[in-house]
Amino acid sequence: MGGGAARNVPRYSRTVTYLLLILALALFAAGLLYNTRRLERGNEALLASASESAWNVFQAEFELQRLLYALERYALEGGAGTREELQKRFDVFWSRLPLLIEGEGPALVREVTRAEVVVPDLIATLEQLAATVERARIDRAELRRTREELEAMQGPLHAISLATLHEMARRHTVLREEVALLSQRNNLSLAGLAGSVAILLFLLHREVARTRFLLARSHLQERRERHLAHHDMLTGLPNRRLFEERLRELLRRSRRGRRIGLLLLDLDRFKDVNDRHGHAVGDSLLRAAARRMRTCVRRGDVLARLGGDEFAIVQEEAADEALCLRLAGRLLDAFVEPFELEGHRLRASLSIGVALFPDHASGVAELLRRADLALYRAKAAGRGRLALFTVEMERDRS
Amino acid sequence: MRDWGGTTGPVTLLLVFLMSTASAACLPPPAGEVLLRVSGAIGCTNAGDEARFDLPLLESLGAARLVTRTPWTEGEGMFEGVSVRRLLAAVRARGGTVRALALNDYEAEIPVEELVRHEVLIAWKRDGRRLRRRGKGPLWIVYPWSEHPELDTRLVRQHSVWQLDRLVIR
Repeated sequence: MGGGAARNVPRYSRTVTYLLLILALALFAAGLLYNTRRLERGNEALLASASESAWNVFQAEFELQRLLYALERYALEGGAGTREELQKRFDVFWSRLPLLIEGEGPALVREVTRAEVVVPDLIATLEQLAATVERARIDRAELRRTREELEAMQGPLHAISLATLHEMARRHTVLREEVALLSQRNNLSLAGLAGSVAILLFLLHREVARTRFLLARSHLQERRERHLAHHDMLTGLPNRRLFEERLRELLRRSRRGRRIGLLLLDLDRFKDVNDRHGHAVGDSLLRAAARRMRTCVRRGDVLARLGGDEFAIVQEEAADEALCLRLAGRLLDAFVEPFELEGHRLRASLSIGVALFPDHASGVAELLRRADLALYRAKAAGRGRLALFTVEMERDRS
Repeated sequence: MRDWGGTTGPVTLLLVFLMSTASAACLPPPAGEVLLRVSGAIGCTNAGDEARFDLPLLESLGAARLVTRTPWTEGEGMFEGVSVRRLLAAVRARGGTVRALALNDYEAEIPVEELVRHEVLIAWKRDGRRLRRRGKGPLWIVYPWSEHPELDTRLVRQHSVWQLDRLVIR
């Protein structure tokens, strides 16, 4: 559970979130583009139908001109060829008129011109003229009447043509404006989206920072709890649990030819201090005693408070018992000086029991028991002393 | 041909005779009113370098029927005519493009492949009645729009020439 792991989790989720944001942005932009395209395509279709309408109107006008021309030629030349041509042009012109008002294409013409009223009239006129045109010979009076009728169609047709052209021009303008408006709206949408993304990124950053902070805090808390479980609150020294753990580990790891020294320490008459001066002073004494002990041990030694006024030291680098006893002696000396505690001057001596591994024991429990036995002897001998375990002690006990 | 114009030898006469019988065999001349003229890259003619068709001649190619709606008319109609494929085979067309011209001088360039693939019809009847020149007749190139709605495009509409008058094969 290192700091790296704590940072890795949010970094991964952040990458995913960034990707999702980019995806959202891309989708939105694609949607806008699609909309624009659809409008443009719709416009194209609209313009196409408009131009088809205009084409039809233009064709009708054009065919009327051709019919009048064929009529003129027939009047001048006569003959079967010109009569056939006249009839053909008559039919073709006729065929163009319904196109102005029927079907889907000419919607534009119907909307903006009077074609729906005018065109049926024109067709009715053609129906009257048909009998004349189909005749093998057309006399002059009939020819003149036919020409007059046809020439009279030019005005209305031209009016339809002009209105259609006007409408087409108008629609072009409207569509252009519509497209411009849409692109403007698209720009606004994109700006809005960019803003949203910025806000999201800001929120994301904040969230990541918060998560990191919470993780760090929980990490710290965990360490503190672990520390509390393994340490004595009063003195800050390792407690019995941690001490025994360490001891067990040291014994397991100890190499051949190396010794491990165990010192059990007990404050003499601590109960009296508590009874006479109260627990507050007793606690202060324990703290002060722990401080003094700490000044005596070397780095690598383990000093622990086992409970009450009981302390212990494991000396890992105990090459021989002399070294071990020297430490015990240093400790005894350190407690000669009285303690100055909250206005009280207190004298507190130590009793120390010492046992060595592997000389006196082969396991943790045995080592502890034998050191305890030595401590008991030291106390029995009159306090303020140290005692090294001997086999005799065990024998005397039994 | 022009090189032989001055000669009157028996070989030339024989050649002319053979050619005319060959033409006569592939397509007889029209007897009635000509509805369609086909020219260009064709291997069979019956009037100069053109193949001309009256209605009986068109019908002799094998009349076909097509039920379809069109972009210009309401509802479906039953069209009768000849498939462009058969017509092109009858005139031994060699080109890849058909230029279709209408009575109002409208014209459209149509790929042969498109006409053949969709079995496009040159129709002269709708619902049993002749197409009139005052409408979209006498001939109208009709696509199977009902069967293939995807054919209802601007381009195909432009190919659907009505008042069809001439075809030029290229």
